[in-house]
Amino acid sequence: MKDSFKRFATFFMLASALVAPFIFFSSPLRSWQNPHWFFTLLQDAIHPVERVWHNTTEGVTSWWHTYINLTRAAGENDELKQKLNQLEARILAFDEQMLENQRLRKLLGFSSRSEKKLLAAEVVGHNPFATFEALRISRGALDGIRAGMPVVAADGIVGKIIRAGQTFSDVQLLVDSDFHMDVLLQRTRVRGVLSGATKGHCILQLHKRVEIRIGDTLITSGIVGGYPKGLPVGRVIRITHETENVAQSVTVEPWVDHRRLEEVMVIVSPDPELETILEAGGPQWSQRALNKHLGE
Amino acid sequence: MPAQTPWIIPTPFANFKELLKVRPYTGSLRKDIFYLFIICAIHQSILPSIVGRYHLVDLMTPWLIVTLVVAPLGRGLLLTILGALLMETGSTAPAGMYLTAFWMIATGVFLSKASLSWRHYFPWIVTLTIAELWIILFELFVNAVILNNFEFTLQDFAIQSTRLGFGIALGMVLCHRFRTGDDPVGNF
Repeated sequence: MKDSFKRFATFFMLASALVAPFIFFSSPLRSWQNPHWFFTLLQDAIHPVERVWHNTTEGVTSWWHTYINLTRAAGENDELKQKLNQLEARILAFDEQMLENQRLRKLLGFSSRSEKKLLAAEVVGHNPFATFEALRISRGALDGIRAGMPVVAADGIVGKIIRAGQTFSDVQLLVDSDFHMDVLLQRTRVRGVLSGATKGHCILQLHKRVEIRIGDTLITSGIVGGYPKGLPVGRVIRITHETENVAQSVTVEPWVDHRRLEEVMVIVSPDPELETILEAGGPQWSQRALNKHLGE
Repeated sequence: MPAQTPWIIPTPFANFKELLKVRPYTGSLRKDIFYLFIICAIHQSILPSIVGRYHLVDLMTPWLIVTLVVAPLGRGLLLTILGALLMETGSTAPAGMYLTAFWMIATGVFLSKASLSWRHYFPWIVTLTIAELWIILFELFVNAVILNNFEFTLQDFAIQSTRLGFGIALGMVLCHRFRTGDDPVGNF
């Protein structure tokens, strides 16, 4: 009985080991975007350890900055007061410019940009996989976060929510190999699709004739994905021309250094285009469209 | 002179002391799962804040390899699947990548387990090296497939070599008690 079970187990394991790579490589090679509740539960079980570690390190760092570094505070205080005065003067100038801008927009008939609702979140974890990097933040489904929501920081785009647990969410970074977004070249207003690449960079494929320079800034186009138009994405650091190819490959360095991120903002306002589609087609529209296409 | 009564550690403290002896296979499924979660939390949250973004230290692979070797088949597979799922759902790695890689390792270990003497260094070193190399190469291959190109610099080589060396060293530390016969290697 034991021998026959062992033979069956050997056959089963060998067969499944041979079949597994075929199943895996025939899949879309996407990460767990809408995981089963069981997978979310697995990560929820680990999350308290992350919180304890994060709070402990934050506490120690904060204590260090508060008490040990207090000697520098007086000098910094003076410096900051000077900067504050300068900034207040600049804010007054900016207020004037903003009012002028609004007036001009109105005159030109431009639609005013809708205000986006932002939700601040702390970065509580950073996945160590150099190839598939992700951030974990301290807000989850209980705070109204859903997969697909854009994540930004003060310097620009960070990525998007890839999965939301109850009290945490994972952020797929701009530099992830499976990340794509619509961007504009700020100087020439040329559009393109930016894709994540390894080593903290992104790649943009453009036609060979498109004029582009090292140092050019990329901004969000605001067309898809729920990102507001005009947010900084990155800057061009390398342009590669291939003789047999009609495209030029542009390497982009994101403005946001995700290794130093401590806080991020999640844009919780729904994507207007996506909401319109969902309203018209219902929540299962994509599946129905696919079935129709496949003739089922 | 009456004989001195030896100090007896109270039961809760003894239990706690026992819990601190972290090892891949304890014989209790609850403890094994608890340790796996702790190792995963250290791997995903604590280590990155210490060693930075480079994936220099891999705790999960040696842990799961030693578990596969020393635990009976059913429990070894259960813990390996759980570990692989934890790694996948905590990163943006494609769904099924670690499941596939670890399942193939599990098959190799299962087929060779009875034929090797796990009291010697050599089978452990070879198993750990092959397993760690397999995971590294599988990750690189999947990444190359997704990106449609492959770039492997000297820095990548140094990172992956460090990871390999650390994985083997950790695996040798973890397998010590099983190699020396404190705990027998589980059979089928």
